[in-house]
Order: sequence, then structure tokens, then C-alpha cells
Amino acid sequence: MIRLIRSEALRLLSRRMLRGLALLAVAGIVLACVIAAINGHRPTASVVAAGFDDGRPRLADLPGILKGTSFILIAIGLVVGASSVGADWQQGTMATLLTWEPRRVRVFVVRLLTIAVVVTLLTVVLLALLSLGLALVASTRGSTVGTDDAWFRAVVGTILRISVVASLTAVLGAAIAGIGRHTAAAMGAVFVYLAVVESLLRGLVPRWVPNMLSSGMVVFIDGRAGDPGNGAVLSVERALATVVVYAGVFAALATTLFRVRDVN
Amino acid sequence: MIQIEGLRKEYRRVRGRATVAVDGLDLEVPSGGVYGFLGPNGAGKTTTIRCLLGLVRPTAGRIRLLGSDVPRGLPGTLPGVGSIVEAPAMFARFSGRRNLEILARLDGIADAAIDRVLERVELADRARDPVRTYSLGMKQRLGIAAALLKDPSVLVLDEPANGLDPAGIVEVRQLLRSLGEEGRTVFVSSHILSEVQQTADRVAILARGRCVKAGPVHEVLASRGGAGLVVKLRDLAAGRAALAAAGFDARPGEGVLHVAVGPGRAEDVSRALAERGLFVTELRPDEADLETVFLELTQAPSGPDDATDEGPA
Repeated sequence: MIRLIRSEALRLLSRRMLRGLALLAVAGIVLACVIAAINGHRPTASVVAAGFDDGRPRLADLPGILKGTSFILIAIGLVVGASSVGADWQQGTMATLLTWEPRRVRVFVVRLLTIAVVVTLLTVVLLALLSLGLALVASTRGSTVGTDDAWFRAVVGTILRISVVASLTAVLGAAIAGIGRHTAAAMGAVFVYLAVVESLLRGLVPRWVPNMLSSGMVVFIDGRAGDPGNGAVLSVERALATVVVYAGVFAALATTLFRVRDVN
Repeated sequence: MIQIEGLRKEYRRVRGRATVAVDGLDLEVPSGGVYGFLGPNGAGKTTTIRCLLGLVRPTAGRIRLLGSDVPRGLPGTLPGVGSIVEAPAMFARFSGRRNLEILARLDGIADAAIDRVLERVELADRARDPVRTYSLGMKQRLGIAAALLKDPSVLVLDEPANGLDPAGIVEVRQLLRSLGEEGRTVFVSSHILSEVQQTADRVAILARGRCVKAGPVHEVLASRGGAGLVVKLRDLAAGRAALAAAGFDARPGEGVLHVAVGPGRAEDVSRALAERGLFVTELRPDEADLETVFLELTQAPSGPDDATDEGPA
């Protein structure tokens, strides 16, 4: 098992797609920090004296900023997950792998776990970089007012919740790519489902809204029970459970199909 | 080493009849040496190899590899089996070495073994280049390197000479020969019959999903019968009459006569013709080669139930 994990980790970390996306994200973070620094300014003394804070950027806004970037990181997770499995089918390397490790359930489960761990770590690192960069900008050209312990816990919690959702989305993408044996098909399916199917269902069957993937993602990342769009209240726990169920069901289906289908 | 009994593989279709890729194949591959697995395109060679390696689930039949049932025993047997299935599939953007490293991790194989197999297939100097920059022959050699990485006792190679230039084919032939001489069992499918004839100790010929002939190469060649002499001369009709008059059974072929006597009577045949003023321009033993046997066996008319196709690629 350890050998399989090491092989999967080496394969995943060697992928240019992963490295390219990580570099692109780092470049985006640097650019965002530079723009924030250029547009930033320290709080005006008279405004602070009046009990307000007009400094920009405000480090206290960091949790909200992080939440704003979550869709990018979820998209990265989806691409990494789907391409990691889809590429194997498209290049025919799955057959090569199975002539070395024929226990298919083990192969697929280890692959999904590897993807989940790598995407989680990648997301945490990227969000931590963004947080550090903005903290640096705020402390030199913005405002750090309101950055107490509660704020710190909110930042860490937001980073972890976004990482969990990105990682579950990566698993979902990998599972669908395993079922369809194609990267683009998996990404297309997730996109069409989120953008078209759930949008339609929101209007047509409002009572299903709390059970929708997008509802679970939004509420869980927000970290507070909220209205998913139908007037009901969706708890954070249920929101997490919704996302886990989506990823879990597709992972189980993909694993089962992988176990029984021929590899041609 | 490899035992296949009654192997059958059908690919079901949504509409129409199922496609039968392998149809009741029986095969026994002994330990050691090179075993040629021959058949025209669509005969079921690749499907058989996929079944043997657990990639494809047989519809019926039993396969044993290194004494264990396939697929149940594969986790225990595959560490001793190196293989190439169709074109060796590698990650095109990774280097050849990185591809081997990923596989080596699976069996805890040391980096020294990677260097050794890369040297053996003469890819050491291109090992750090992306596989997409490799020629077809280099990819094939990388596939062979991957198969050798486990230091296997059994090698299952599907068309390993595909895409190789003549020099590459000779290299693969020598490599297979040396692997067989090391005591490994090399099960190699091919349609390059001259190569198999020079490399294999035993062959099985597959047609329409069934084994139509199997055994040591010399026995398969001898089974064709028709051993005799080939005579070439200007006037075939006169020659045939002269030989008939001398008591020889001569049948016309393509620009030649096939005389049904042993090569030891070549002098008698030559004299019989010369006495009638006919002189041979060529006189040689009528030796069957694998290609002739292959064509005769695989082009035999098939019955209505024999129509088979290769499975999905």
C-alpha cells in the first residue's frame, strides 16, 4: 500500500498540469498583492481618531477575501482531480499500471486519496501565501485593525473549509473522469451540472435546494448556517455532509465500475 | 507456466450479435524459452494477453499464470511477470526515466535497476528526455525496459517489434533470444513471422479466436507436409512430362514444379530432365517456412460460427 501511495504521489506531483496551475496561482497571488499595495493606503489619523478605519486593504476583511477566491481553488481542484484520472485513460497508462498492481479497488482508492491530500495541501499553501502576502501589504500600506484571536480563527477556519471543498471537488472530478474515462467529459459534466442542472432545479423544485452540491459548498465555505436560496436554513454540518455525499457516491460508483469493467 | 483452457471472450453490443474475440482457446506454455503467439489481425492475440494479465474479464474459461488462477492470484504472480500490451503506454510528457520510476515505486525497485534496464535497451542517454520526443522504436524499447524492470521470470510481450526499424528488430530478436536463454519464459505475440521463426522455440497459431496449431517450431513446419524439391526450368510442361515418364510426381507451382521426393534424390531428378534435353535453372529443397504454414492455417475457410473480430482496441 505504501509503495502504491509513493508511486501515485510521484505521478501526481510530476504532472505539468499540477505544477502549471500552482505556478499560475502563485503568480495571481503576487499580482493581487502588488495591486493591493499600489492601491493601498494607511488609515487617516483624523478618521481613526473618530473611531473609524479607512485604511485599505483591511486585514480584517481577509476571511471574506479568501472566500472570494474559493471558486478559483475549487476549479483548480476539479481540473487536477479530473485530469489526474482522465489522462491515465487517454494515454493508456491505466493498463500499464494494472499490470503492476492488479488490485483495482486499492489502485483507485489510493488514487482518490492521493488527489484529495495533494489538493488539500496545495489549497492550504496557496491560501496561506495569499494571507501572508495580504498581511504584509496591510501591515505596510493598509490597516491591521481588528485582527484579534477571533479573526485569526476565522482565517484558519476559512482556509481549512475551502481546502476541504476543493479536495472533495477534486475527488468528485476524479471519480467522474474514472466513470467517463475522459478528463474533458468529467469537467464538462460537473460544469453542466452546477451551471445548468442545479440552476434549473433551483427554480423548478425549490425544496431540493438544500440538497444541492452548490448549496452545500457555499454554506460550508461561509462557515455559518444560512439560506441556500429557498428560505430554509442549511446548517454547516449538513452543508458539509451534502458535499461529502456527492463526492462519496460518485467515488463509490467509479470504484465499483473500475473494478468490474474491462481495460482495453 | 501459462495454462489457458477454453478461453472465450465476447464483447457484447447494445444491438446485434456479440463480437467473439477469443473462442475456446486452449494453450499451454511451458517454462523457459521463447513462445511465439501468432495470428492475423483480429485473431484474438491481444484479447488473450489482456485476459492473461487480468485487464479483461473472460466470458468463459480458465487461465493459470505461474501456477495461480487469473485474476484471483495476480497480486501474487504479477511481480514475476513483465509485460507489454499493444503499444507500450507511458506518460508522454514525463521523461522515460520518470515513467520507469513511477512503476519502480510500485514494487519497491531500486534506482540501480532502472539504470540497468535503460542500459540494456540502449536508452540511457535519452532517459531524461520526454517520452513524446521518442521515436516509435524508442517507445517500444522503453516498454521493454519497463517489462524487464521487475527482473521477471515470465515476459508477456504483445508485438514488441512493432514500429522498429530493421536494426531495432534484430536487437529485439537478440534480446528475446537472450532472455529465453536466461531461463525466462518469453511469451511473445507477433505477426513478423520470419522473426518468430528465428527467435521462438515453440509457437501457437491463432485464427478466428482459436488455436489452429501449436508446438515446437520444427514440428509445426513439418506438419505442413509437402517436403520435396522445387525445380525451375524454362519449359514447365515438358519438364513435368519428363519427370512423370521417369516416375516422379511433379505438380506445377508458380513458375516452378514441386516434385514429391526427398532432397536426397535431387541428382535423379536432374538426370531425368537432362536425359530429355531439359536443364534446370534452379533446384532446391521445398522447405516450408512459418509464413507459408501461417497463411495456410489462417486463411482456411471458416464455418458460419467462426466469424470473429478483435475486441475493442
